[in-house]
Amino acid sequence: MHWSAIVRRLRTLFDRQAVEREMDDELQLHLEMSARDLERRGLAPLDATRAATISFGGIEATKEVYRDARGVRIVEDLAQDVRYAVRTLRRRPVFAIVATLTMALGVGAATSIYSIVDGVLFRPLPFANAARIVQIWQTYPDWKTDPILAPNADRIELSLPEYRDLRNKTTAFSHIGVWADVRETLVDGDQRERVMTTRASASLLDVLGVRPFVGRSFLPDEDRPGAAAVAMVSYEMWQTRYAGARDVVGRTIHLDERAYTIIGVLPPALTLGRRAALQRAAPALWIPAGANAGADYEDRESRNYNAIARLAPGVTMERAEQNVRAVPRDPSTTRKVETRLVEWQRDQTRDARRPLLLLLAGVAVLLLIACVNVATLLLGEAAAREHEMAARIALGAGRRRIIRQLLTESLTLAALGGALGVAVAWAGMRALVAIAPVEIPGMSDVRLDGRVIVAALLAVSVTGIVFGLAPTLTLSRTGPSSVFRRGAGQSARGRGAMQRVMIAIELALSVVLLAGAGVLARTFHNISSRDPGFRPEHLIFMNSALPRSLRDSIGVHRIYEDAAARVAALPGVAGAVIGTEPPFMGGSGSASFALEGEVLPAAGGSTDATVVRRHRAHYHAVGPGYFALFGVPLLAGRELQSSDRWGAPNVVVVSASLARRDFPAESPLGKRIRRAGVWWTIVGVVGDVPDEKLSHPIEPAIYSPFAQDGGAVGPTLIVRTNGAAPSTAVLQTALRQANAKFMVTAVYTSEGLIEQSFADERFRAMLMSMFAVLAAVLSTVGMYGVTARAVAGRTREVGIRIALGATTSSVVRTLMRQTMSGAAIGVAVGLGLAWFATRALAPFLFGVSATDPFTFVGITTLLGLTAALASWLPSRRVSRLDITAELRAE
Amino acid sequence: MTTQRRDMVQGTLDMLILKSVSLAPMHAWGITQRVGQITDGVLQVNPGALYPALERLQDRGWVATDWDTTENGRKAKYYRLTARGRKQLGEETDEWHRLSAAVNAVLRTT
Repeated sequence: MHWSAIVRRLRTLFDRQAVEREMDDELQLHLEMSARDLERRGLAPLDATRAATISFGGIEATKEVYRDARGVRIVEDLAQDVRYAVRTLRRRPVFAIVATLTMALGVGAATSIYSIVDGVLFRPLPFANAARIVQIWQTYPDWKTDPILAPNADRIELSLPEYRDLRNKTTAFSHIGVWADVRETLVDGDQRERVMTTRASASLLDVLGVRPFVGRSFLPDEDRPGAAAVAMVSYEMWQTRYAGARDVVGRTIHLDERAYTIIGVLPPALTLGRRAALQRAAPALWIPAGANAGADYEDRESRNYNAIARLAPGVTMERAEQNVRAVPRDPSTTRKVETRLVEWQRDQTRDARRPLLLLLAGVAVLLLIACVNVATLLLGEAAAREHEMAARIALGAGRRRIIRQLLTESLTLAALGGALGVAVAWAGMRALVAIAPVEIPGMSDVRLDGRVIVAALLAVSVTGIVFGLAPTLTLSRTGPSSVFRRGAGQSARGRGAMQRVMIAIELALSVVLLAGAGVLARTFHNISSRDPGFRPEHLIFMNSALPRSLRDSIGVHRIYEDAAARVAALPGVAGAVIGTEPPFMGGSGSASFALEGEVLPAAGGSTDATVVRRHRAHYHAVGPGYFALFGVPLLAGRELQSSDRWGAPNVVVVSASLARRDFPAESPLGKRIRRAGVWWTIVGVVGDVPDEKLSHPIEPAIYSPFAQDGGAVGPTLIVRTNGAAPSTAVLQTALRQANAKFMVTAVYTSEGLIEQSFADERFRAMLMSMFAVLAAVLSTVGMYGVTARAVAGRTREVGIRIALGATTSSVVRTLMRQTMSGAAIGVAVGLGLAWFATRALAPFLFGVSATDPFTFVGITTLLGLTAALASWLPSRRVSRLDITAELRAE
Repeated sequence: MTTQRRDMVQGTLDMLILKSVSLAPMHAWGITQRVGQITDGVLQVNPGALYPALERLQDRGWVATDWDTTENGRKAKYYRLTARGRKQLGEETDEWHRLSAAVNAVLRTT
């Protein structure tokens, strides 16, 4: 077709009115001219018009052929076919609705889950050649054997001297950069605001391959101690705080008590990898790492910097790894440290990967069930329509025409289901993002994936087309004569068997999903009903900030204790206490110590002792009355008191599990431990409190008085209220009374934190249960449909049986038996599959085995009952059958 | 009117239209008149055949249209021959000559 033809067709399609008007004008002119010509030859004007019209030969007919010639025949034909298909579907509303909903659910669920998986796991990070960026981690081999330290053993960051070593002694990278995110207080006159800052090396933007949006980035000379203080602001901050002013470069900004000169603006939406929803706010500004590191600049043991590097062209991961390993450790490094490389993107999502792939597998099974269900439904339709097909053939319809009509019907169904599916996917994805655990990185920029919608649509469309054409399989042997054979349903026998196979497949897959959902739901229940070891009700945790100069002062604990006392005096507050890293705030630090008998006195009365064996425990520095406020039971000895202060004898309280581990044979009370170079006397034993997650094994903990720990910083204020929590503003006022520069930075409820700690498990259990319920509903609908079809197709046979003396109940039993036998096989196969499939879930389970008998028996019972009901309901109809009428109809 | 009417020989209508508009742009009615005049009324172009044919020729890019006014000031759609159409007319004319020569030869000998 010539291109002009396409343009003209499009015009016909989209500017129909103008085209019609032109056509009318043209034909009108034709008539007028013709009439005038006749007038010239002597006819009267009226006669001439009439004669012209007659000789024209049917204006409307001409218009119709005209339209055909220029028209969009294919589109119009299609529209006609679709209209017809919609009519046929409307005549079978139950089938149409069930098929459409099935497809919509399958497409919607699969698309929304895949979109999330893609957004989090697969979509490349938004940097040029992002696959060439690697994360550099260090590992402490000796940590791997300690249960408390092992989770972090292979994710040790770099110190600045180590970074400089790598930068200077490797050739495998084109750039290496480091950064550390640090919260700072942005000061603007009286206004104080907590912001996240990134301390970045001058080379970091080069690793990412991005350029500043305005101005310049850090120079190597600015990345050293003593350099002039410079900063780059984020694009977002530039927009909100400086209204995008071009002259932002050169302005001054104050962090805490230091002034920085702005030298550039970062590009929009720049984040260092995928950010968890918790940290949705990207750092507001970057400052050079070296100039702001203080003593860290030369400290080899301050491993606080994330390191990424861009592989040099042509360098493989293996070669880079060798190159990195070959860098000699500085002789001052006494402990064993190793370096490893991992693809940056993969590293970011390492914790989210397996759970998400699990959900993806679950939804894939659901999509498969949806496809099987659509196939089952279409096969049922095919059986019922054999008569119609025969009649159409008898009336002279061509095979091709019938196939085209069936295809149109299938595709119309698929289009309806698909359109609805996209809506389901969109809503589902929003719901998922809303309920997803906040720790999944990249969740906040998940979007609906067009490719996946297309793929899922294709899956159901192909199913629809393949099984929608089932009636044509018999077309060749369906001669017109079969119209006259009334028992057309009989030839559906073979297809009935196929439908039962489909039902068995659906049920088997449903069992797998149900079993997975079952054990995950039990896991969730087991975790959420676990006792946290304290009373979390009406407990709020408040984080706060002080200016750095105060934070580092000796008397800082007095400010905190004063603040706690003022908050405790607020109306509605039952008590307040300070403590570092309270439970479920995201993990606590740990401390190593030695028992008295395991320390050899050093020669010459030196305070440095030789330790035979080290013990490790979680460590908290807490205020007086901490355990009473939390509701942690005191098992022996006493609580920490306000008299346990600087200068008084050093004391600690230990947890029950520590007492069991380190003092198995005796009471720990009065025993001494050596930590941080001094002796501490154990004065109490308290109940165990999980640290981070209810599902984690309990780990030993020690608690020492905040006032006796010079090294403890930034405690959390723990407040127990009498119900309604005071507002943040009220808390803020109380803090300001203790110190004018105190600032509330975040407030959490303890219950909220605990819930968040098992958000992962809840998310998995919820989604899997949803998939499983959908699967069960789909297969039930399938069973019901198949039985109903079988019953409808065999009314004649049933009539004869009853006429010959069979009881209704025996006929119902016969009819049910067919569906039930298919269902039984399906469930049995499904149980076998689930036996293996649920093993893949083992890492996600808590307090339940992968082949939990309770779950498996429960599923079998549930599906058995459902199958019985789904086959009994339609079978029961035979009892209402008018036998004589049925037989007379023969 | 006793003009004898003949149906078009298949495929010749396109050629006649192209020929008609080859000298000057012409509106649809003009084309029917032209064909009638030249053939002395032997060949009559039926509107039901003409308009689809004009569409077809436009689709192929052989004729193009412009809106213009007739000699008595009426707005009308004028069809004109394009360069491609001129080439096509040449080919069809050659083909027609070959065909009619062949048919004539057959008629002469039998």
